[in-house]
Amino acid sequence: MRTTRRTRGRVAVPALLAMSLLAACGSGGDGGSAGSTDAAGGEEASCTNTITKTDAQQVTVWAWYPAFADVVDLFNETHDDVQVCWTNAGQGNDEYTKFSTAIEAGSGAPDVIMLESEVISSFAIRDALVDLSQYGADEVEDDYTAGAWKDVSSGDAVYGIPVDGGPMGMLYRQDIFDQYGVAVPTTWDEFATAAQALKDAGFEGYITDFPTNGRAFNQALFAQAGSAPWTYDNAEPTEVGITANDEGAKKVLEYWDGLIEDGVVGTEDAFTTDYNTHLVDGTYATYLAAAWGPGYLSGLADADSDAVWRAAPLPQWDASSPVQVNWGGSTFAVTSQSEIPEAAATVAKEIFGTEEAWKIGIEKGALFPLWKPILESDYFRDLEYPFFGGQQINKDVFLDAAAGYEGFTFSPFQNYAYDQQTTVLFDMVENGTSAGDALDTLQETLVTYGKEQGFTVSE
Amino acid sequence: MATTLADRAAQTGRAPRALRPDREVGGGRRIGSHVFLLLLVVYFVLPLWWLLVASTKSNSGLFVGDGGPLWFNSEFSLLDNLRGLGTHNGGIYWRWLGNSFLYAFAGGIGATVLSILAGYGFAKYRFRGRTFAFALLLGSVMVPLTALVIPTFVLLSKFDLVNTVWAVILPSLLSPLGVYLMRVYTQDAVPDEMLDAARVDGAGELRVFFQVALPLLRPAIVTVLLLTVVGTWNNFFLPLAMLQDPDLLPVTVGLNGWQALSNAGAGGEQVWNLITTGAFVSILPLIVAFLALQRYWQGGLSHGSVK
Repeated sequence: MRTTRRTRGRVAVPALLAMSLLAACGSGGDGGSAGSTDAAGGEEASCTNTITKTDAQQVTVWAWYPAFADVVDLFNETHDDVQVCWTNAGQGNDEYTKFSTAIEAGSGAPDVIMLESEVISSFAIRDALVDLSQYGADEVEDDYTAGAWKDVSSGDAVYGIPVDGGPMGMLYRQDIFDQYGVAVPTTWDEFATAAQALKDAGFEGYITDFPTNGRAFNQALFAQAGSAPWTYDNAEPTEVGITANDEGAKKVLEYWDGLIEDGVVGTEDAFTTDYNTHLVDGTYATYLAAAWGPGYLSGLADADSDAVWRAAPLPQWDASSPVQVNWGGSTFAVTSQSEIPEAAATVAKEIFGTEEAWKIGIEKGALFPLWKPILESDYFRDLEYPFFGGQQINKDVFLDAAAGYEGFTFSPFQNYAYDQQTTVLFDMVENGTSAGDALDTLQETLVTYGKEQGFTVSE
Repeated sequence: MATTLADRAAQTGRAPRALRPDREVGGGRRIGSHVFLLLLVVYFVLPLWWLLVASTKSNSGLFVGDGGPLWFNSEFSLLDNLRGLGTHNGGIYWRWLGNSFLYAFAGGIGATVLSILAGYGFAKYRFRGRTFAFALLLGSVMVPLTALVIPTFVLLSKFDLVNTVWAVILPSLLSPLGVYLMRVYTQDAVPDEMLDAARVDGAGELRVFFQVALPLLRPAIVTVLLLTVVGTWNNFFLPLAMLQDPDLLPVTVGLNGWQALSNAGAGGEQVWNLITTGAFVSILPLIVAFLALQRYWQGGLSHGSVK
């Protein structure tokens, strides 16, 4: 008993040691962040770029394009009252993870954030984004196509300023089509015929790939046949309409299911090593791509010097009334944590609002502009792409695709919807579920989930 | 995948032993177990081999090289890739590697020190609430660090520590498993009689701890140190959520960012070769650490079981 007592007194020593160690770390942290410039923390965000006009108001921006560095410098040179402090907080989901954490915590988000249009509703419903219509978004509305503007709007509210888009076309291997004497398809009927013809002529690859994890890509293909799975307006945030198994989606999925069963289309998962390999080694004769696809493809341009890539419009269901669709792209939104929303809105509106900025974006970043003054300029229309043998792919393909795009309504739980889409498509490809059943299952799952989340769901 | 292989491994491993009474000749058994071990070696080494091979390939050579996925291409680009790591984004890769070292050692050493102190305290002192505190600790072993990231973020953002190195180091200092290991090991390896003898000789508690107990704990210290260093080195979600500044990222999160950008399309920046080479370079320090500390590490693991 006595020993216990004695030791109880002494045990305080290691405990004190531990505490002082922790305390030392804590105070060191304060000193570190205040003292050094490159390890600044908390409110004093550190910028990847150097800001010379230190008196001006600073707007923090998260954006992931590497080419953005020069765009930021340009903006800061040409503005005296507002300066951009840029951080590359990761691409897509990496950045969204950080943004979500910051929303939960109530602090830590930047003033302006780059978002893909498909996630705007998901963040708007969490009150994480500012409605830009109160900060003069309508002044720049005419600078964008109606479709691009619809993608950043929800009802009367505007949650982002469009940056770049992904109007879709078909990139194809001219040399493969020539070698097997098959004509390049312009409609989906011709596409199916060409797929079979290539195979019959001895082509060992596939005409293209239909990835079960295609997510936005698959949804765009569905939309081309008129599928509009979501009805949603952020003004009525608890009401959502879901028709994931509408006729358009069923028509498209049955078409691809048929091609897969005939063995003329690959089913490799997108964004895997095998998929990348097959894109560049001539296994796929076409790459159904967004306008940023050429940038992606030419990143591996030196893979096969004999490959002859050309661009053509996306095949159509009805050649007499073509429908254009979009896959991906990005926007700038202002977060509701911003204490300077007006300045932030200025940055969102103006940073990609000059020809100089866009020339950087186009030439260094391979971005497809949605800003009309450059989109409709001679410079962009006549631009020749060495990767396509000098073809003017904008004039031939993507400008029409962008102009014809009418916009899309995304889900307030888009990410979940994509995940479920992947699940049912995988079931279709691997387990032989019919296309119709797959989409019915998807519809059922989404409706159940929507109700569980507290939405009033209409079907 | 891992479980099925492990299951199969368990079965194959048991089969020869069951045969032993009937079989007098040991040759067949040895071949069986050798084949089995060889399979395991292939299973564990193959990814590393792939990484080594991949780090010598150019960006497009990774996809369409003449060597296939498991052999070198005729074109050898390792040096180019290393040079690329030094120049891409201003050589930020080496900064990431430095950050990983900082986090791993600050977090690892700090966690080890705390584990030793706490484990020793639990093992050798009786105080009110000890059983309860230890039960709490055992419970928290079950809670993965990942699940605590959001609450930790909220906590740290209150102290303005988010997006600083402390946002990674402070949470890494806690290692319930380390405390548990240290307690169990201390109970076994440091006899109470020895401590009492030291006390009788007039040593104070600090002296008892530093000069009597600590030397006996060396194998366990190395074990816990390795576990915590490796744990912090490989930690992914914590820095992903806590840090925005690219200059503060550890190599795991940084490389993942490059991969996302390579996959993103727009921006057109594909640096697969730098990702594979960067991943390869980043595992070298861990391999060196394991080889160098192997002696202590093995001693630490087996010590408790023999006793």
